[in-house]
Amino acid sequence: MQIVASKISRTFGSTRALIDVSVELHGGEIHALVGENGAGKSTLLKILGGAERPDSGSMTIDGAPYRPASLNEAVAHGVGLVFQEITINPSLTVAENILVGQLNRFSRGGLLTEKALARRAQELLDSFSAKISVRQSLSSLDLGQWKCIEIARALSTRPEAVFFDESTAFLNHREVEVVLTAMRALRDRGLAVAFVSHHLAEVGAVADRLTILKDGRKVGDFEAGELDREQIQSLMVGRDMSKGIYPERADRVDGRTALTLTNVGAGAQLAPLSLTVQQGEIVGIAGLKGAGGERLLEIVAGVERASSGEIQIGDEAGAARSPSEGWAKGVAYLPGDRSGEGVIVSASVLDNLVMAQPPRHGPWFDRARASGLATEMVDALHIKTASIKAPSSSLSGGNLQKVVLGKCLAVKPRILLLNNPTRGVDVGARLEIYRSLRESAAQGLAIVVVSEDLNELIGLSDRILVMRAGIVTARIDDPSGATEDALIRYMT
Amino acid sequence: MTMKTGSGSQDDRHSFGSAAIARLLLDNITYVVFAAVTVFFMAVAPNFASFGTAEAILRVTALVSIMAVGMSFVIICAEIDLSVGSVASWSGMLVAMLLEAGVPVQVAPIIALLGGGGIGLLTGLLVTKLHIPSFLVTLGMLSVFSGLSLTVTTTMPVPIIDADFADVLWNGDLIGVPAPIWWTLITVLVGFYLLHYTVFGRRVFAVGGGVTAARFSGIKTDQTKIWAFVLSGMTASLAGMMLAARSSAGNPSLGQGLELDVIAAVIIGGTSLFGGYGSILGAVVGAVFIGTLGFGLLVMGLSSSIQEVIKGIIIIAAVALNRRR
Repeated sequence: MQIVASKISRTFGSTRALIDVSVELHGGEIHALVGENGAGKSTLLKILGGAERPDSGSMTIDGAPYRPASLNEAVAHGVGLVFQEITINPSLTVAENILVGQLNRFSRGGLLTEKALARRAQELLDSFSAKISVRQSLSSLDLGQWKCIEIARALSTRPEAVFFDESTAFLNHREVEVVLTAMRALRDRGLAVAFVSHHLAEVGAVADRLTILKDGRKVGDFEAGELDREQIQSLMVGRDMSKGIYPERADRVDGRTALTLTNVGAGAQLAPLSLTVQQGEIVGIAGLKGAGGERLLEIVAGVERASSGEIQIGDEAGAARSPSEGWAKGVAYLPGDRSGEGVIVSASVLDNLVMAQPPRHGPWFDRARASGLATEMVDALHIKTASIKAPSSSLSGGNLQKVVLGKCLAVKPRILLLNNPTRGVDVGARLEIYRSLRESAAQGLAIVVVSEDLNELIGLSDRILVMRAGIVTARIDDPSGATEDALIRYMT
Repeated sequence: MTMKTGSGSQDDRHSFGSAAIARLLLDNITYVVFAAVTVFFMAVAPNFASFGTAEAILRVTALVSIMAVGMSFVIICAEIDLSVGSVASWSGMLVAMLLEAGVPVQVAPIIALLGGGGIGLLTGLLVTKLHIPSFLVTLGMLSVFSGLSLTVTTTMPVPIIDADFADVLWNGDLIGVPAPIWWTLITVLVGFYLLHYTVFGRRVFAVGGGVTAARFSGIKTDQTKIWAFVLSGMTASLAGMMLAARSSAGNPSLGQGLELDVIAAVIIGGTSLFGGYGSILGAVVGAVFIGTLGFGLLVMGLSSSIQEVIKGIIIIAAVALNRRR
């Protein structure tokens, strides 16, 4: 199996998403497409998988012309696509989800032949050693296993190539590992595997070859191991990243305490934990989803209540009992789900930036002062928007996240709580987020950050707590010497 | 998404021709349809175009406009209030009974108004504290207060003898403008400033646009919703008293079915039923639109049953055209 795409171009409106990009995919290889948001990698993968059509350029499979007009036509050519979004229907069984496109083949007189269906579904799962039984209920499986069900669905049409479009975007470490293992199994069976991912760690772990894209053009094709992570990032962004993307740590913090937790616990989700955070300090919390870091942030923010322990904010004792009380005490909170919990997509950039504490004259909304504050935030964080009045829905993910951060910084908080602040944010925007976090810390802000991106925690934090199942398993006081592997050992 | 918006705004800058005019018309489609319908009636129904007509329409739409102001707050919060019609009936009955019992005419309407606010408060508490969908709570309230209005006097109307009450709320006029139009102007003005110029108004939009994001940003979302329901209850109550003033009696079925016209007015005016978008002036235009339509069809001599059919079709068409693209 060999898929060759040559000189592919695609334009959306006035944006040239792809310009003369050529790429070759081979059976028995995992091929990574990497680049920043908007570099064109997803568009390229969708064109290869039949979900989009190119404006110009040609594609062949084993020398024969390949011009799919739809996903179904691509499937007929032996190409399967796994999407970023979860497409599992929880009201169906595992087997029905896998074979949902071919249920008529398993019906007799309008009734499903459950046994044949289950047998075929199990075969597909076993074919890449997914370790899932069709008898299991969907609710007992995690997102990574759900992704495997989607992979089995893609395999149900007996493809020779499978493409993954940011399929790990919503998964945690352990779940990602499940999907990466599945990808390796497919490669070992001789399939051509291609994927798009934001996480260079994943690229490093599974890719045999990689193609780097920038602004719709191909930067180059590389063998695995040919480039290190910094070199890949430099090529993606187009500037030198060899000094790393993280700002320098502060020399030493001033020692005044911003946040004191004494034996704060929340039932089984969080064992009693004590922690003090100084002004100017960035404390990172590592752990798998559900390990307790997010719960800790929610408690300090006032979203959830602690079941035991004392919280002191500055010199004031007493926890926030609601988010509004939290903000009033100077605790700003950046939640993990950007579009659901962080911004109001229907509202303007301005409204989002000043939402936490709208400038006011008595009951009146002070629009002039709000505009000034919003403009200040847009400039300080380099938010790319047509105007402060533009709807937030017109912003990219990275800029949207900067709006949420701007909302937090606009109230001049004492404590800033961050839940995965750069999830789905590309390298350029990350750099700016890290820089402004460090600047704010230098002015006395205390920051607690929970992140699944371990490199980010190592690069950004002054101290790291590692958690597992609600318990702190390690406290790392000098993260500069820490490695990802070391953190993972304490996490699992 | 950025790509599309970027190109869209560039188009805006570079084209001033027919495309720009088409876009302007499309963005204000409610007004275009409204104008077209009005011109149609002026052409077809010879007696339609006169000051008398305009005044009659404004009188008729005063009630719906006033209730639509309160309803706008509720709908922009992504909630709904189906109880406004029966709250209006109940307030009419209440004020009539208070006056009959000898409560001074300066005091009775205030009690009824606060009563309407109280019903909104109860609705808001049930919606936010017990997490019952507002559709269900207000459907229940609709039933409770239409039933109560019928029960208190065993379905008999309560006459209102006080002439001052009727004058101030309906029959009188000030510098040539009838009382109901004054009340509409006052309510709309207060609602307009409250929604578009206060911090409370910003919160209403935020709650409707994303309740979790609003709460996580420190907005007291429950409180905001409760106030929206209080406003809706109070405007319904004011409209109910005006209805009672119009017929010089509290009648238990006066407000029946008004909720549908009120919700239609708000939605025609461009407010999203899913919350987060909307305007008070749009709601008023929607109310006047519905009033004009009803009045025009009446002038054309169509039977009231056919009027209902045509009204329904035009309302659906107006909302369909007004959907956010």
